[in-house]
Amino acid sequence: MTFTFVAVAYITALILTALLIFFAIWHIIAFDELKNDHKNPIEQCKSLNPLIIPEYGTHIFINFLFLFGGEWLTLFFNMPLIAYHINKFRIRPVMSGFGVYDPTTIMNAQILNLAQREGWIKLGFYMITFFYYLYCMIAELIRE
Amino acid sequence: MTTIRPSNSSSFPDKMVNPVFPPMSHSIGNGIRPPTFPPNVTPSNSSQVNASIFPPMMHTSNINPTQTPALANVLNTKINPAVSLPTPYNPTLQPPHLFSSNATSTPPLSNVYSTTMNSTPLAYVGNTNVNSSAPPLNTYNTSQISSLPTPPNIYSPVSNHPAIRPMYPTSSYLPHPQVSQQQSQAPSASYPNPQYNFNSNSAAAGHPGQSMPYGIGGNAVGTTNQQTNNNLNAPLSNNDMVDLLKEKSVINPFAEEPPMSPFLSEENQQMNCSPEVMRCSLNVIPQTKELLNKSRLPLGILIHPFKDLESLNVIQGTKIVRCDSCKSYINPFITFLDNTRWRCSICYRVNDLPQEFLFDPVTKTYGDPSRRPEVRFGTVEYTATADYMARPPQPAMYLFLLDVSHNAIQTGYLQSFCDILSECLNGLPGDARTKIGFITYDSRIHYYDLSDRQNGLFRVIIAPDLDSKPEDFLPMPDGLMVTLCECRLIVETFLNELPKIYQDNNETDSALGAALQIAGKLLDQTGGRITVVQTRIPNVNPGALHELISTGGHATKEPTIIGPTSDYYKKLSLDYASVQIACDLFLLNSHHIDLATLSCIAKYSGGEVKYYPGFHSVQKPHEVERFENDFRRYLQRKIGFEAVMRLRSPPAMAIQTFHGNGFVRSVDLLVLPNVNPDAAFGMQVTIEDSLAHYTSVTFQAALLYTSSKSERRIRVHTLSLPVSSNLTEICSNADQEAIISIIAKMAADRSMTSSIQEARDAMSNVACDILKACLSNNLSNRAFSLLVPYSLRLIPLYMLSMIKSTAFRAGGAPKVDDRAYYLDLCKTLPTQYLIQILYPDLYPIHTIEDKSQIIQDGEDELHIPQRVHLSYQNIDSHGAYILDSSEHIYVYIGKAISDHFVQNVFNVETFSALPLDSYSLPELENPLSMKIHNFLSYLIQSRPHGVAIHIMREDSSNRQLFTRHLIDDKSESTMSYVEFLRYIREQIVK
Repeated sequence: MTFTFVAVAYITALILTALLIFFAIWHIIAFDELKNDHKNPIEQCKSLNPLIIPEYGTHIFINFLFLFGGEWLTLFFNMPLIAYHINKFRIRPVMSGFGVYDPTTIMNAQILNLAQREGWIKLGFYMITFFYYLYCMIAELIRE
Repeated sequence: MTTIRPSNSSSFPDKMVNPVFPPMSHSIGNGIRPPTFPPNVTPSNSSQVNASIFPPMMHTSNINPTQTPALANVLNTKINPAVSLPTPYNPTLQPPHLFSSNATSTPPLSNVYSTTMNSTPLAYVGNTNVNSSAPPLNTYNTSQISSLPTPPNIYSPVSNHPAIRPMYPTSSYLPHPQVSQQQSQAPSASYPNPQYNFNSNSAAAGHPGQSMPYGIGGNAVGTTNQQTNNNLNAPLSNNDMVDLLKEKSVINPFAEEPPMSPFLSEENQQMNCSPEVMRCSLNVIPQTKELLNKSRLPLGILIHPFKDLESLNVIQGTKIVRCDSCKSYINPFITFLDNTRWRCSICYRVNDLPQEFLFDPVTKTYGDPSRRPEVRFGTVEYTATADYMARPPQPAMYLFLLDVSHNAIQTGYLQSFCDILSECLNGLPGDARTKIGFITYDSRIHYYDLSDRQNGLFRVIIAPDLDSKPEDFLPMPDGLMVTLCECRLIVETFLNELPKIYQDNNETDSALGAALQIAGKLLDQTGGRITVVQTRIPNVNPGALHELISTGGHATKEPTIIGPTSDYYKKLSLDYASVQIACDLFLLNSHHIDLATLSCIAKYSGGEVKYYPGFHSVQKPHEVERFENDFRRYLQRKIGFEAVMRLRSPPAMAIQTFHGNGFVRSVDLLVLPNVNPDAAFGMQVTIEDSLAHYTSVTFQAALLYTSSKSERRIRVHTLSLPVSSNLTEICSNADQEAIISIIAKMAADRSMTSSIQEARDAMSNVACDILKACLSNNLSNRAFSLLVPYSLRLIPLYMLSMIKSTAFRAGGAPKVDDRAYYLDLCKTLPTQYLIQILYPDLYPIHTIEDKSQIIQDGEDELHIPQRVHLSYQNIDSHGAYILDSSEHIYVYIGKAISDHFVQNVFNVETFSALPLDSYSLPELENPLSMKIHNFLSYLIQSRPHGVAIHIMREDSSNRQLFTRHLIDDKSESTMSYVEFLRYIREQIVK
């Protein structure tokens, strides 16, 4: 049992994905609160927007690890989400800070529903990848 | 334009306005519920009017016991037609007089009275009277029970009558003498007789007068007449089909009327709030989402919540009755299950009815909840209790931010501004607590201390150092906002001096961003209104914006981004919204000002943007007049502070998007730091569940605000519409103007998020889809025709005009600012003005003497020429035309116009003696000139905002201003109307 770079990458990915799962849950809760009239959209966007860069960054960082480790299949699985993140950040509304949620449009039912769906899909995706990374990590560790 | 309010006397029942207004039978509701509460039923309005006025006559009738029943009936038939109404009306109801007249009345007189009563043979009083032949005292008692108002109450309606009268054209009851029978039937709540007879005839007779419960702002009489005429002129009804390819003229020669839903009983339509206040794009709601998608029509509600109303029912002092579950206010469409419970019309929950609600303020009696104004009118206003306040109501606070840079001084607006403000100081809405303040800015911020009452002088304080955060500098918090009534003299002196102080200012920069931050600081404890007059793009940080140097404001090709370029103003606007500050912008720029970015400051704080491109006090007198009129109206109009508006809809429906200036706080709540009478809002609505178990749906908009008199008030508008599963019904009852208004809002959003090109494509697709959906119903004739329901006939025309409008057009490269401004207007203008901007009204005025609709208004005669299509076909060089595009009126004089016309209207010999462009029409003493003048002033008065009049000769260099509005014709890059129809047809057949 040796800690190869790939094994370390998967272990890191595992920990970070757990973090991402928390992000996704937080996201879902936040939008649910918005929809059910509990929170002010300005406050909510203020708390959500600072999380965007850490989340996207973490995800991309994991994939850099896979890139250097040569885990092409894993990287391939993650490509769509990376593309989605980049695109979302590219077309974000004009704002001075980093963030994608605009309190003036967030209450638009279409955007709200989209954001909610995004949260659930991401949660599912991170869960699946979490177990996939776990499997890959164990496989990598016991291969020797 | 003015709101007639009830007299604010102290005792509660007097505050219930409209004692003459009858209760309506709401039990007929939406056709859902059977009349469950028999005593409610008072058949008609006028009957009630009479009932409250006439009762003493019944007493008179009682003293006529010598007559045999038979005789009475004979007399009845004979005399009834001859009953001259003035006689019943004449009684100015002096009770002692009437009662004494009982004793001494001469037989003929009493005959007349008894006939009026006996003509309803089954009427209770009549029967008692005749059959019982009881002693007079006894009968008197009976009739007193059955007659509604007790004598003292009779008089309040009469005394209030003049105030409310405008709503009731006298003609409504005059031609129906039989209405007076109703007096004997006027039900009292405790009335026990179940076989209560209704005269359906007179019930119907009561309606015509009330068909317009809210007169159109401004000229009530004229418009009402016009609408009546309109009905007569309308060649087609909603159910007819129009072949667009054959029908040359689809626009209505006179004003378009919002369609009424035929499935609503007439009474329900009257209980709905006025379509000018709240209207839905579909007057019949589809039952399911699939059906709505199939019709391809947008579903949305358009609200003009704070519109100036001619009369408004203000309910004071009572408990506000609301549904426990959905929190909606009690409204005309609810059902009373009995005297203690009611069923909500939105969520169908059964609620308890508080005892106070049974009190009828008109008659001061208990028992009949249906007489309350809450359940009689679609629009009511409550005075709210402390439960509806988050803090004590704020005083009216007005802060003016004025640009005094070199550029601003050049335009000369400051003089107009100061003149009009000092003229309107008394008219500013407010009370003794009203405060006012001024800040001016160029590259520095100038403060004015107006609090020195002893010397009557004001002090100018200039922020010292601009580099170190000028937004933190507040020299003195107290003297900057002063109480208007205490410091009026200083304010007046200040306004006199202000233009002189800056007449030689050479500073060219503008630090609007810093000034706005300081203004926010000044008002953040109270909230209020900030008025900004800006003449150039702000270029000092914070909030500096970039000028388009290369293109000088003219985009060479279509701009890709028309959204804001910075979020500074948006963030500021959100900060404002959270402390109840609204910001209104007056933009008087001659160069690019980046309106799309600046307007954000108004957009999310519930303000408004007014735009006067190229404003110059000397060169553009017509724009100056428009600014002055707008500004005058702006200062004097009503204002509501710290407002929120909520739209309640049935649980099966949901609001998708809000349009309009305000901050969407939650799914159905709009925060409006200020609300003004000219702001309109739109909401797109979706159907989430099937509406199969609904026969009608009710929408309710409630606007909670603090009036300028520091009173918390709630204005509630209720609209109820039937539900149907029949696509043809839905299409034929669509409201095309509302549809266009909703589509314009959606397209404006689309062009912000993607591109204008995409918005245009989407619009023409929508037009095709809508026509295709309604065509698929009748596939019978497909060849060479485009049959559409009458109610959708204007969709292609308006859609084309929208594609060609300044907001969305491709060619002609409008200035970026113009485009941004008109895109904003799409989202904020009330429907009628938006339609006018998209498809202006064109009237030929050389034929005003022969071909017009004539409206009599007392002495005056108003000639309204027929509208014609915006096409060169209708423009003749022998003619003269008025083109009315809401903010501008162009008068276009053809070059072959007769000398007679020119002499009579312009007082010059020939066409060539006319100036190329002029801005006012001489007022001459001849019939033609007077007619045109009357018509022009009618047009000007028909809108609350100012208008710029531009008179041009056919050979003027500015004629393009007029000709670009000829939308029906082909231009280089766009289709003509006929081509567009053919294009649609191709798309449909494909």
